[in-house]
Amino acid sequence: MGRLTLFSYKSSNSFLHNLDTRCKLIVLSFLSISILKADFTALIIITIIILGFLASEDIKLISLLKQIKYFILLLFFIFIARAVSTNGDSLFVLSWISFTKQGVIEGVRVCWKFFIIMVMGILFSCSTKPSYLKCAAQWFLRPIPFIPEKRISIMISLFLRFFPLILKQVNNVLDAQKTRCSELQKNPIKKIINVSLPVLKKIFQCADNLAISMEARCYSENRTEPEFIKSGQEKNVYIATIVLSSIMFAF
Amino acid sequence: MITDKIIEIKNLTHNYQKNHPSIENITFSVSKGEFIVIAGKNGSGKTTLFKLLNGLLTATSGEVFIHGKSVAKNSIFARKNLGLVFQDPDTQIVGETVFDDAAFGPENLRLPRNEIKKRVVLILKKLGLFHLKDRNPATLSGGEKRRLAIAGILSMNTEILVLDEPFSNLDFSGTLELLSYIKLLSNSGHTILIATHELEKIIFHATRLIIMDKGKIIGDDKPLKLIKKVEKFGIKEPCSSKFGMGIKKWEG
Repeated sequence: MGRLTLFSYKSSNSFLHNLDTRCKLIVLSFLSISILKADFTALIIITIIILGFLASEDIKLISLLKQIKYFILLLFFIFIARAVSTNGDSLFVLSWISFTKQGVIEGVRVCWKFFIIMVMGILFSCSTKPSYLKCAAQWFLRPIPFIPEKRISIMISLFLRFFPLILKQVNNVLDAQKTRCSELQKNPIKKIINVSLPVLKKIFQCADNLAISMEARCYSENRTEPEFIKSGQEKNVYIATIVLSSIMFAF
Repeated sequence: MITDKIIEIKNLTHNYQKNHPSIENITFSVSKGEFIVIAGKNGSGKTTLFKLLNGLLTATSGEVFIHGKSVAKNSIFARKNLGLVFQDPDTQIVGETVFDDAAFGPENLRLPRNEIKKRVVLILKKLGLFHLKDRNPATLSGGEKRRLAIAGILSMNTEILVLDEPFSNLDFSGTLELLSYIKLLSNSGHTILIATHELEKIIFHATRLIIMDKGKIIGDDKPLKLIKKVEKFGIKEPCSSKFGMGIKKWEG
């Protein structure tokens, strides 16, 4: 039995699940841009809102932090970079590197923003079926000339469907190699080659099988048109987003 | 003459490489409601034959007819009538939820949305998957995945179901569960073709056994008449037959 990550869609009847995917995409894009202008007051407000949504989606903060630990590590490096590269009053000196007060504040602010954007992305992906995301992508791309929107949307949905499978295959190959003491191999290039070749082979085989099985089920670009589910709350969500964005620009 | 033959295969040959036929001069027909087991060791040509039946491969010579229509000329017609379930369900399942995957085929047929919902609900209930309809297929057990792959085919209203090694990688309970659903489908009028080398599990239910070896049909008869000959072609004879008890139900 496979294991779900936080990025996988989880079935539920929550407010976010019932919202039109197009609305969720617009709101996500709008908030991600306006959050770049936000200061601490606005960040506190949006964090409280997001914590509320996390609770409503039954996502525990601890498990969220565990699953994005590498992202948090990246944020830590961003924080350090900001803290030492911003001019200002020196807070403390670690050997010859000086951490400034302004740098630490700026680092916290930037990392907090990135963290919120990441959590918003997780909320979006766990509350949106890839099939709805595919439909929304198709809907947004339709007015653009010379863009094969149906082909692009099916590629998006297949990528989302098979990305966890690719990761699983990478893990399988790594485990199979560990059983043959691959850790003893010190050359990093050889290590990469040893993993990437069998993984690539498996991915191509998998893609080939997928194409055949799709063909066996009469796949073509002319399929039943997508259906959007609306909760009726979309207008209120747009208004709330505009208010929230205004707060972020103001504070 | 009125015939109930729904599949007719005439002198079918297929080469992957020149002068190395994977299928050689195969001729047989399938009547409505038959339950056929096609047995053969690995590389005997079972999967190639199934892909030819579904129009996924083009024959080098010979032809396959479904309801009198050539598969090579009417591949979509063939796929609407003959559903092929592959060996590995993981590469066959494309939907992010059980419901979405079962709806994939009907969506390809451009059916109206309410008709798709009706069909999918019916099939998921029939295969005991309805309570899992919102589940991510990655979280299903092996047996459930296999049933979902079958549901994805049946939602296209196919009357012929072709299963390629359906019991591979399944544990005992998963195999029993799948067997009971295959029997259910056979009893409800579906024509079933199963490729396997594990005869023991399925042969009791079959009305006909076809043995393949090196791309050729070596035997085609009632299971009881052929069962003693299978080991010559690398297929394990069921224990009950070995001990002189004939063909017994595998689930005992």
